[in-house]
Amino acid sequence: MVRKPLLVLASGLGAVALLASCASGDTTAATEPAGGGETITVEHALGTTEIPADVERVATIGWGNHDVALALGVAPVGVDDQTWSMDGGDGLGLYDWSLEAYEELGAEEPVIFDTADGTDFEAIADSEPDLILAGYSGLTEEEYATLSEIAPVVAYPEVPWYTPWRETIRIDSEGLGKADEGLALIDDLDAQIADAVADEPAIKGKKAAFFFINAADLSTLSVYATGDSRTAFLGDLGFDFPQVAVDAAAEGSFYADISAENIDQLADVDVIVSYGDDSMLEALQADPLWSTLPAVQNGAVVTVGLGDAFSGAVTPTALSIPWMLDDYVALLGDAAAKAE
Amino acid sequence: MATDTLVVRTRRDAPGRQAGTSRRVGLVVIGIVAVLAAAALSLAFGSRLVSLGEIADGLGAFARGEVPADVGAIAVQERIPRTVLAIVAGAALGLSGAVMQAITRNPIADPGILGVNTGAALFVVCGIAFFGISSVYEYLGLALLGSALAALFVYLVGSVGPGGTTPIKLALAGAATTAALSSLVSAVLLPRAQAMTEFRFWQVGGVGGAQWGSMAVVVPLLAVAALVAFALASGMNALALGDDVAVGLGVRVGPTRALAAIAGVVLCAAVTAVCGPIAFVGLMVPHVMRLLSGPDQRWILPLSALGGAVLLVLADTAGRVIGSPGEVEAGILTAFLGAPVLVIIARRTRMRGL
Repeated sequence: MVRKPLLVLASGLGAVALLASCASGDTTAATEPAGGGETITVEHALGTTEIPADVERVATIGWGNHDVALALGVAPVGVDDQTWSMDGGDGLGLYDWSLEAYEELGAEEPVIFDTADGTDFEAIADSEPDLILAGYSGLTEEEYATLSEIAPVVAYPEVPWYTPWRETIRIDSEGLGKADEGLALIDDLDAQIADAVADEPAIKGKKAAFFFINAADLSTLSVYATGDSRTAFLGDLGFDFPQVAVDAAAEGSFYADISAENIDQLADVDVIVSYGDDSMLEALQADPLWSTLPAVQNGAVVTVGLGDAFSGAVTPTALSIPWMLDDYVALLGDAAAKAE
Repeated sequence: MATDTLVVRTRRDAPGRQAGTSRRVGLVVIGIVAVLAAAALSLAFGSRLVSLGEIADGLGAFARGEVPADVGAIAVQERIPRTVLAIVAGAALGLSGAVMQAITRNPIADPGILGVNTGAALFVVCGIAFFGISSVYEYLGLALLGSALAALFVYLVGSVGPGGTTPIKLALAGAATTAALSSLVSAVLLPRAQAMTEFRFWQVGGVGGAQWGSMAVVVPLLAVAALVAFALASGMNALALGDDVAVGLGVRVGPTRALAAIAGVVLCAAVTAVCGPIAFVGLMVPHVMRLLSGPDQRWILPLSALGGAVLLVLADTAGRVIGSPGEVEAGILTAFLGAPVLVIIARRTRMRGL
């Protein structure tokens, strides 16, 4: 699934570098405390955090927060490994788009925090951060309290593990004292998305959702709710959502389990997006229940791999969006065209 | 249901009293009827509410070798292979548990005790993590190999030293091996979240992935192992009296125990390979059957097979109904039922001063 990632990343970074060079150091959230030194105040789900303006050493935990910092020209000194979605044999534990950004910035490779056993407090403390970014994470109140003793912490805006990529950029960039650059980055990514989908008119108005399907056992499936960042990104690309994804969100869950016996509840899905490889469509078409779905009959099934970089990239981050956008949109456009 | 009244009635009569042959034959007949009744429930009920017409359509189309057009009827048809798998797997697990309890003379022995489940798990995990396996047949092969090697290892460890293979040494070797293999499984899994995701599906035992193809591979294995187990039933009766008495009765203790162990391992390993580890069926069912029928293995073995089939079919059906619109795996329900049973067994055992 390698598709000229270098080129995509380079163009994305170029745009970011341009933005960074013309943006000012002011932030909308900045205040002037009595002491005279500038302090940034960020509000999030776990409290209000005061951050000194002269932050130099940034640590990030959770998913994709390091990519926000990197996109804004700050190379974190320590990063959570991203292995929950990738193969453990992949060296440093970061994806290419992040590693290349480190290279681009001429920065040293970060210390990788081990996530196998929860938050790696010792390694985080050892990296001596001035700021810990966790805008997209699952921090608990206890973890937040412990981390706050190490350095100021920016947690998620509302719900753990449920932060859309724009919100991740917004809150992390506020913490970095680069709120304006953050907004510019969002605008830039939105422009890239608009460009990419302009050539795929078939997407508009089709209903798509992100699924978890186990090819070895097709008797059940999971569908991610509309607010989950994977499904939400399909919405960013112009898709509408099927009822099951809307209902799951309304029930406050980030996914819904459905038995294949109730496969007709998915009849309004035009495009199925799922982890897995090319054999998935064949398996679905061979299954008596799945094969009753129009999306399966039409072959409108997009598989994004499993455990490889592309399957990680589709949970969008500030840097993974430019890295995967054209390829992903092309796959989705093809599938949407089949749904006609 | 028939089984309910059965349990209530026999609690009053048993335990301790030797059941008569006519009553045991009655138990077998009731067991067969219960399997058929459970199968009927499994076909009729699931995550989806289906009408009688859809049930008839689904079964009729299956008999004619067709796939029906209506989703309800297809759902019914799709319940056929999983019901068959639940019967086969439940019977094999029940039988396997009865064999293991007999040869180890350990009341809480079940297929897990000889390291079988963890051996299978370790091989499957390594297959996922290092070789990217994903097909049912690859799971099957690795799980069988892993179970067999783990069981063999436990048996070898359990038979070294003075006194040869004793039940207590087997149980200890099994527990130690299980602990060691479990930590290896964790060591392989922890840094590989992706493998963990795939392993998760296999690790929660269930019959939802039933396919005729994989069943065709394991059923002959299971049949041979079951026949071996039945053939050894009287030998196992002698083992229950203690090895010395068994020798005095002319039973060749070593070969009997080894052959029975192989049969027990194959029974549960083959099921584990197809369904993932399904806990507690092998533990619970033989206990209940021993209460009902008395200590004769010639009756406990077939009754355990019937009881295991009923339990797993009902667990799978209940899991689908409870979990609607999703499903709850049968392995979760058997564990849910099994934990209190384990406590009861442990308490009873202590009171008897075993």
